[in-house]
Amino acid sequence: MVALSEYGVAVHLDELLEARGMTLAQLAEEADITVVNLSVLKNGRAKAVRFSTLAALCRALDCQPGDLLSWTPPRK
Amino acid sequence: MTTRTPTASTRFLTRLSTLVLVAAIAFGGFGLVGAVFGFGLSGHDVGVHTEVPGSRLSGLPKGAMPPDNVDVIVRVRHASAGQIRLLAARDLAPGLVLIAAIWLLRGLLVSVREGDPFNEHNVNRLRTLAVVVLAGVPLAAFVSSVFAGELADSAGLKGAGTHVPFPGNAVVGGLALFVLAEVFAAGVRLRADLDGTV
Repeated sequence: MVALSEYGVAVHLDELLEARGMTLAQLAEEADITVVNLSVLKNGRAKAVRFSTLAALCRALDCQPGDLLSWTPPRK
Repeated sequence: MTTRTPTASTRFLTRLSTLVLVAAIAFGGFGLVGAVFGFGLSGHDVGVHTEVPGSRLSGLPKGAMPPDNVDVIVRVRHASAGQIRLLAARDLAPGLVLIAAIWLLRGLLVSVREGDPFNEHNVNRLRTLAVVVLAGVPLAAFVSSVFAGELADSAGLKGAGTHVPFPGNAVVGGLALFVLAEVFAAGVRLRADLDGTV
């Protein structure tokens, strides 16, 4: 289950990690991002993502930003 | 939240504000108890503020123009219990404003000492402090002036009158605190955004 942020943006970290057989800790080390920040992203609590963070995740997961993020209109 | 060791000046100011707050509450409590039992901070002597016409001043240098009225303090010895109550009532409102202001300032200082001043509590503290300065100070001055007039009348100093000067300092100070509160509120919003940035 992908957690949606309050803006309707979902971060598909779990699927990408599973597809690549990686753990969150391995990704944290590979992308040089703290596990705490990755958890914030994964659980839909982030309000903004820096380009540097996005680039580091795309490099570590060998994917495009569009593979990581999707947007669903929030329910009214 | 970032927690840093508080600076020496922050620690000093926090202790100083605590000391002033405790002293203000102690003096205020003593004044109230004294009013009930009929003794003032200086025993049974009461200093009564009043005005005398400037024309009654003598010994001025040649060519000096005295003002219309001059503030003087008349010492009343062996004041009655009623006069001591009026004295306590005169000092009560400014005392309450002082205690409220120091209480709020101390809260701000404690949050700075704890390394987390940019929060909603401090925005509310600054807004409350602005109201205290903008409205509380002139109101306390008016209430105090009314009781000072009563006290002067009770001492036979007729015509002392009640006057409250335009509270320019309170207006400027209160508005400055409102502006500071809004700057803090913007800081709180920016911080919330930053906290959610990965």
